[in-house]
Amino acid sequence: MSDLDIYVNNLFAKQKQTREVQDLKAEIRANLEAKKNDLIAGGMSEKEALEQAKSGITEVDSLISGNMKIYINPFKQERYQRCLIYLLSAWLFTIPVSVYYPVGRISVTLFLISAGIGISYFVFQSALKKRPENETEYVNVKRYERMAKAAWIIWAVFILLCSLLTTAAYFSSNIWFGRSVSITGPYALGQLFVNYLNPFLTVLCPLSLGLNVRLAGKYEVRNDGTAE
Amino acid sequence: MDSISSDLVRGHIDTMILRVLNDGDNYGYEIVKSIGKNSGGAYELKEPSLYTSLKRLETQRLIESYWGDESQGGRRKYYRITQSGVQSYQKALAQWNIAKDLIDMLIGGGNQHE
Repeated sequence: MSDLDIYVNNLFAKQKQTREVQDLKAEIRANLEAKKNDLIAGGMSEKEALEQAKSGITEVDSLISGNMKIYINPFKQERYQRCLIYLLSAWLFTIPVSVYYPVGRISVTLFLISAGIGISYFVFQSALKKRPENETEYVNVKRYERMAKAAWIIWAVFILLCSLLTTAAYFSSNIWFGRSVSITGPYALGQLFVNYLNPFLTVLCPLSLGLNVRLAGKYEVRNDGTAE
Repeated sequence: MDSISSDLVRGHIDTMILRVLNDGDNYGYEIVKSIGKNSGGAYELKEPSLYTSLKRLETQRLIESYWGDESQGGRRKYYRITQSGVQSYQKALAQWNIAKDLIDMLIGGGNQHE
């Protein structure tokens, strides 16, 4: 492997090896080779020519499609906060209905997850003091969008299945065995509602993943001169 | 080239590349070189700008790419201007000629009316 190969490989080391990325890599590699040879033909030493060629391109993050430069710390900060708000709202929502099975357990679980995220939020906050101000990082918004979309689809299928199962559990014996549906009082009716509504709490997952897309747009670094 | 003038030039990088490709198919490094030559050595297109601009032009279908034969440094990616690319170039050139005269009248020759 030539020095140039090593340099280009390092440039692309942390990129996901998609077709687009591989093409860009091959293109950059061939252009650098042409530049190096041209400089040598112009009388430069091999070593100088290599250094000069390398100095023309020192990062490729800004060239990957879907990549967005964001202020990473406020992004993470707000993502923590919003996740906490989602979880705590869900938790508050479950408290009055926790007399029903299995909401009590779900309620406790939600509280424990909130506490866990709360703790890691504090750890993040205290580590933040040592970080440089206005730190930026590239994130791939296209990937975030794909993840969020997939999460919503999985969630929709999950909800559909859960609703079907609940319906089957309550009403199939009526259809197939002619046994009448028995809802014996307000508590039983409440339990029926709870059984239907319970799975909807999982909406927290796609909602939280959607935060990546929305917050990346909010904390995008605009109008910086790195492109030229 | 200082930062102020490079600010003025930045908005025209796409047109510069279209102009080079209007003269014939070319690959990245030669495009940069041709632009340098066209400027008489006064302007150098930075490589990150080149790739960003090429990608944008290709997405807009003003140019298209194909891989050349295996050369010494691996395969080169060549670009070819499309029909709409030629139109876009001519339009940008006409607009620039109008803007150039206008800006010249507006901010140049301030001592003429003494």
